[in-house]
Amino acid sequence: MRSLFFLIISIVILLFTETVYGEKIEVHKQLQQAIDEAHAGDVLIVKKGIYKGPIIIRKPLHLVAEPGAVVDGGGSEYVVTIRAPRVHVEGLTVRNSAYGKGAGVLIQESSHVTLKHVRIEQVHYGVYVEKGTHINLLNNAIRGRDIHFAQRGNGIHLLKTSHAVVRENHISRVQDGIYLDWAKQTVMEKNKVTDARYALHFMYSEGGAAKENVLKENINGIMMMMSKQFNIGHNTIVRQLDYRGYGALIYDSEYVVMHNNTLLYNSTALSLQNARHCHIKDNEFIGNYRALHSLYENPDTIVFKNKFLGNMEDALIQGTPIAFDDGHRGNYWDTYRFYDFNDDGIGDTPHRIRSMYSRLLRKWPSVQFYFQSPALALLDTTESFFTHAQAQGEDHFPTMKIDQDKKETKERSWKLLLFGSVLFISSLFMIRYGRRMTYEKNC
Amino acid sequence: MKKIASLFFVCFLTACGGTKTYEPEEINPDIDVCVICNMSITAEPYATEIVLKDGTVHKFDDIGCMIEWMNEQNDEDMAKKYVRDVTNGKWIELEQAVYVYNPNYWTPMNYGVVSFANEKHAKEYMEQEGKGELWTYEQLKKHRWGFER
Repeated sequence: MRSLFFLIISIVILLFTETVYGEKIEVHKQLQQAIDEAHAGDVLIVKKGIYKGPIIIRKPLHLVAEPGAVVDGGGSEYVVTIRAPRVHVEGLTVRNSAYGKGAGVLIQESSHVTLKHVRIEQVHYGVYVEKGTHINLLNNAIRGRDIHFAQRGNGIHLLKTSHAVVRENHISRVQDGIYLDWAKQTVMEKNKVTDARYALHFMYSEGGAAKENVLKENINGIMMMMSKQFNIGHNTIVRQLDYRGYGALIYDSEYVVMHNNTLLYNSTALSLQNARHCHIKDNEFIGNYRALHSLYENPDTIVFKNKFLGNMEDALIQGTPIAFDDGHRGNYWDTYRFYDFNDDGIGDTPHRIRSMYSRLLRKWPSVQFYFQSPALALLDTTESFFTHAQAQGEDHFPTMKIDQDKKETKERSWKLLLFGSVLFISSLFMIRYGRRMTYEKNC
Repeated sequence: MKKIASLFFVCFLTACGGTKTYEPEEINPDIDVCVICNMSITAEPYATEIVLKDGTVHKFDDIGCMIEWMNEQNDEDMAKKYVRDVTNGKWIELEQAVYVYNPNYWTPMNYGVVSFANEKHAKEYMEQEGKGELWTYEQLKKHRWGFER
């Protein structure tokens, strides 16, 4: 009975132990040979030096590289290829794939593969994952070649891959930063993508999240096409200033929640083009040339609880009207000029998104010189009195103040008042005490 | 002197009476985006164009996008429709090209249809990819456009 119990326990342990580490082997040269000779589960410590690529890994292994360990592809198509489950590569520098094709690292039909602190440079694609599952790409630095973006490959390309985690990678000088191509359940967190065509590019992909990424100075921050069920939150999307630059463009996609993002200084911060059942809420649209663009039909898509501050043009609605409130709350518009007499935090009249100025701006871009000028304020106010003026859309519940700021400011004011009063009274006492002392001394 | 004057006159008449050629425009990946999907046209060999009779040129990143646009527009306004031979980027008229199709071919929008100037190039491409079927323009017209994978 006892032996049966131990047998069951052993089987359970064997079943649930993911990696059984083998021998630790130091590698000084001939990396491919060391990989071929190692057993599944072995740990290869790759010492400092330049190793000749291409390298192919066909068994579960741990490659832990010391600083200065480099695999040089010498212009080969794929510098490192992984075709095995449970491969872990850490600290390696991978460089020099072919021009116009191939990748620094190719992961093919593998599961539970991790690349961590890997530096990939002078490559066409950075990491190309094909039909992978549970792929972890963590803290890697990927930098493409200094050529036109049309000739570069993508930083991280996930083709038909599911449950990938892409976290804290720095990606620059690539065509698209992270490209999801028929991918499922992908998590992208805290990545930084700069100098790319599209920082995050979703194509025919489903499920997942993009959170706390910094997408800066690309042509588009987010390009979502024919995809669904994504949670896009707490990202900073800044300075997509190209001729046709968008902070985010959602095209022919559905069930996307975009929340708590900061969209700052973009040509167009957000464009909705056939975006269905999407919620755009709690975002900050600040200092963009155009904050929101809506084209075609965007059924059941709601834009609410956002803050529109200092944008040259708040919204351009070219398709069917979209909802700017959920029936209770709308957005904060710094261009809203009416009052809140019942003090419920909601403006007493709807905010009508019109703008003679927008129309003038499209016709004569030079009128942006008058942005936020008294002349423009007069034009805006005059236009608002003409209720028949054609509105592009209506926010029925425009918020009067940015709530959180209102609360914080109130609290801060009370504290300041209290502190000031204490200081003032103490000073009075001190002066009085000082005077009395002087008087007593003189007497 | 009269001869020279008449020569100038003839030149003037020729210039005035010149027929429009509706030539395709070169693609500039920095500014050209697809009219339908808004993607910038970086994969230039896959680009397509429609030149309208008024001279307007519409550019597309994938032949599938061009067909989608054509289905929504008035055919009478279109002067020329161009696709490219993917192997060398040469512009060919839509009706004159040869096509190969496989849902797993990579094209910018994954429509899986690739165009060529002649059968030789098309067959070489199919051989290289190890899959696909050869189509004429008539077969292309019968295609049910969509994304399959």
